[in-house]
Amino acid sequence: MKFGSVFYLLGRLLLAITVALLVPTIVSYVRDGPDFHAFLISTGLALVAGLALQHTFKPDGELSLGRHEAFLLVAAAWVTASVIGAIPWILVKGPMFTVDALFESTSGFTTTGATILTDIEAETEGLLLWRSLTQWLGGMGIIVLGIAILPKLAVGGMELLGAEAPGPTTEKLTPRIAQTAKALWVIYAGFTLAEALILMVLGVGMFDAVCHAMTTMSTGGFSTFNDSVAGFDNFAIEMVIAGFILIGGANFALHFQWTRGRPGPLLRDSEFRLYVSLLSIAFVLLVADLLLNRGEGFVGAVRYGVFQVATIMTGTGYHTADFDAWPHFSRALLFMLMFVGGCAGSTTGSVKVARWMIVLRKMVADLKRILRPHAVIPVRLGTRAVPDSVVTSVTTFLILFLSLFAAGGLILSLMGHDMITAFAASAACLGNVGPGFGMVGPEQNYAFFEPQAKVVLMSLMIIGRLELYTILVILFVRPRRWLR
Amino acid sequence: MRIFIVGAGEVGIHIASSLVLEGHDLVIIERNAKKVADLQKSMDLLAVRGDGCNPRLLRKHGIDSADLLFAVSDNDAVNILSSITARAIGAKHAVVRIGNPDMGKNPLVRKDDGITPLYPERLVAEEIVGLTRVPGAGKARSFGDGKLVMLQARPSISAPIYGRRLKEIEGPAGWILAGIHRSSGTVIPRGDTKLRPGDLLYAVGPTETAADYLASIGLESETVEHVVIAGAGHVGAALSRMLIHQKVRVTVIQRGRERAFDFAAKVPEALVLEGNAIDTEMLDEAGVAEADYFVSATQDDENNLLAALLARQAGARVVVALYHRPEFLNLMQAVQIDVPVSPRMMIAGTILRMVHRQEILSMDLVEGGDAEVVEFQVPARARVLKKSLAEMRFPRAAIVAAVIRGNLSFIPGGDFRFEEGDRAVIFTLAEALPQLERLFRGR
Repeated sequence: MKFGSVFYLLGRLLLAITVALLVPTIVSYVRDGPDFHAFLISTGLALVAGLALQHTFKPDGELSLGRHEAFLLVAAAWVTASVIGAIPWILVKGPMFTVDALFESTSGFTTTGATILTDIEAETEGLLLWRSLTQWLGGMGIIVLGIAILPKLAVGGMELLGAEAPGPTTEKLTPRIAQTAKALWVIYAGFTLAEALILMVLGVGMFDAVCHAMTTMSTGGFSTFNDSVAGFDNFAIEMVIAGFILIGGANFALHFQWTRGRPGPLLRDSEFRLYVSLLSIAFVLLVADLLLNRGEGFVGAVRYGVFQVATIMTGTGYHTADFDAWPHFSRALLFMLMFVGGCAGSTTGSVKVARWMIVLRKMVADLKRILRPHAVIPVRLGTRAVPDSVVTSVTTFLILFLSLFAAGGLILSLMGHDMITAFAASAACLGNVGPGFGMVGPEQNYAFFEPQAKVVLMSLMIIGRLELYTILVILFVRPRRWLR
Repeated sequence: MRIFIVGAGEVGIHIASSLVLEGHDLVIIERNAKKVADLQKSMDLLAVRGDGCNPRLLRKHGIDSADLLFAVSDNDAVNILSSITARAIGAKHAVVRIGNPDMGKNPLVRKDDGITPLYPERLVAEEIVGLTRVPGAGKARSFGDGKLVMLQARPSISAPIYGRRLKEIEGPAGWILAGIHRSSGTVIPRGDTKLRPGDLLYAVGPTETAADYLASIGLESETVEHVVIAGAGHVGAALSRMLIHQKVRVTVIQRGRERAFDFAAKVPEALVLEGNAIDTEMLDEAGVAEADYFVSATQDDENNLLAALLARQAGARVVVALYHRPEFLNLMQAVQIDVPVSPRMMIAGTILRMVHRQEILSMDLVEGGDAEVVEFQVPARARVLKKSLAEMRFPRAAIVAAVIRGNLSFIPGGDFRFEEGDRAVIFTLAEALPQLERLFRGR
């Protein structure tokens, strides 16, 4: 086990976060914000820690990472980022705020969007910007993780999901991933910029436009308003944001293709098609329910239907309506959508469309095999047949996901929270959605949970964000080996 | 002609023995020293030990003055490289045997008109598909991308066609009777010919109205709905694809999880069963009892024979079996396998026809051997271009059954005039062949 290279790379991550921290520091300085010193100190801490790690663990020769190190690095990266990201909050709001700060930061870097802030609009501009920035950076990390790193580690069937991606083909990790990452980040940043500009054209101030653009593309869901996107109260703005949410929920490797003039892969991609179909079906059902059982007008039903379906299925977590007050069917449908997620290779969390596709097709194949026990019926993803090992891996992933959801819900219930709240919070954090139902509904927040519950929820966020296995493999598989 | 053969396998030896007898100048290149020695001893040809892709070797034996090169080894890569090399050095024409259809997509092979790819497995598949396309008929062969078909069929005794002159009988539109085979020999029908019970008819017409034609001679045609294939090799794969294309339900039995999975992945429309085709339970699961056709297409002759017999017992309507070793033909005929098919003999036959007459694209032997169905391509300045069919002295012992022009295929009338590049399907008695060859020869 070479901890050295892991620490060295964490140092590099800290330096990157230092650069990111400079943004709110500068903004705070220019706007003469009250949090300037907090950001300056945070930046300094990150810089020192980063440089120290880089210096201490400078590798002798070439940097090499085995499977063990890669898993450890990925897990440590998100934990480290979350801890560093909490420092400005603690410095501004005091040591009593430590757990809440960690919760907010973790929710940011995992692009969950669950918040403990009771009055968002009362926070400083610097902190609000930093909050949005953590989600944007988290989304960036996820894209590379999902397209370049996890496929290589063959986690939860990830080697197949989004396989049309310009993923790594060579054995050496670094050079190819660096190129892939750069290309994907350009697209990610491009979409973010485009959204911010469009929002500004529609009359949104630059600060709010940039913050929302960053949390839209990362399907994170932090808003600068207490009422989330409803704070704009503007139909056009809601639709623009919904549109970019859907872009963020699609495979970035496919975005890579069509932005280079090859729309074919995106349009032919079976996961993308199912993603669009599921969104459409959910939308129609939701609008019908709102029309029939809530007496909503047609325009209103469409307006709120589109936005809520997009934001919940992709796990963004904005809202434009208090969907927890909607009819039973609408609530149940949205709850189920939390388990869908977007496409593999996107910034979304949860199970993801490709996995559902594989599991459902496996089910159909097994049914057929009852009549013809010797039939060989490959599960297909697009035109390709999915190897049995991947099908098994995906099935296990789904079972594991549901088990973790159940475990999270049970633990929260044990702590004395009602069933809806407990299970909604568990699903919303594990699937990186954000708001849930009951006490964690769209009009509520996570502040009331006791610190222990917050730790449980933070763990769910990170486990869910890193496709379950990345964390579980470290925790449960021969722990002693990791220390060797 | 100076002819090179690469690969002294069964195909190579079969071609060589025929060509040597016809007095061609043969060079055969083979890697196996023992085979080379045997050939050198038994046949009047030059057998060379070496690699058919080796340009030095090819040059040394005069490939630049060769008229033809047959690359017929079992290795696609060797065949392709050998033919490309030979063409580059100066061979006039190369024929390359390709097993895996994907290999035939090699751009160097495609863009060179002097290289003709031959797909034995596809030929076999086409032959079998031809049978299933028009069930009820004894033999069928399609022309012009399958739009026209020639059927061999014996009319029902009860059909109202006997004792009357042909011109008095109104057949289905577009159908022409090209030949009649009877015990006294094959005749070319004329307007006043009368049909007799027991006649075997050769008729050409549009594939889509084949059922009408068969009905007019009192035969009922049943459509093929389900075909069971044992073996998912190249033949099985080509056959499945063609049948699926015609909306026929296909079930494939393949041994080995991996190969079955790969095939199922490639051909999603087929139902693939993993197991052994000589297992009656497996045949039962495949639905052989209700299958219209059972085709055993594995590499193993014994396996094919046994599977076909079991399938027949289980109730398959028609059983087809592939064989590779020549001695299996008699055996299969003895136990009444409906259609024994030999891929190697088919490819050898095709190749020999190419040598005999370059303009003739294909030939089929008609029952009895005194008549043939030949396909001519009309070259520039051929005699046949000068006058219309009625005006020219077209041999009375032959009949133009169909003409394929570009994408069109039709049955010509008396005022029809050939154009360069047309392909003529002609039913002819053997005696008229030399005349036809003169008519269709370019100058």
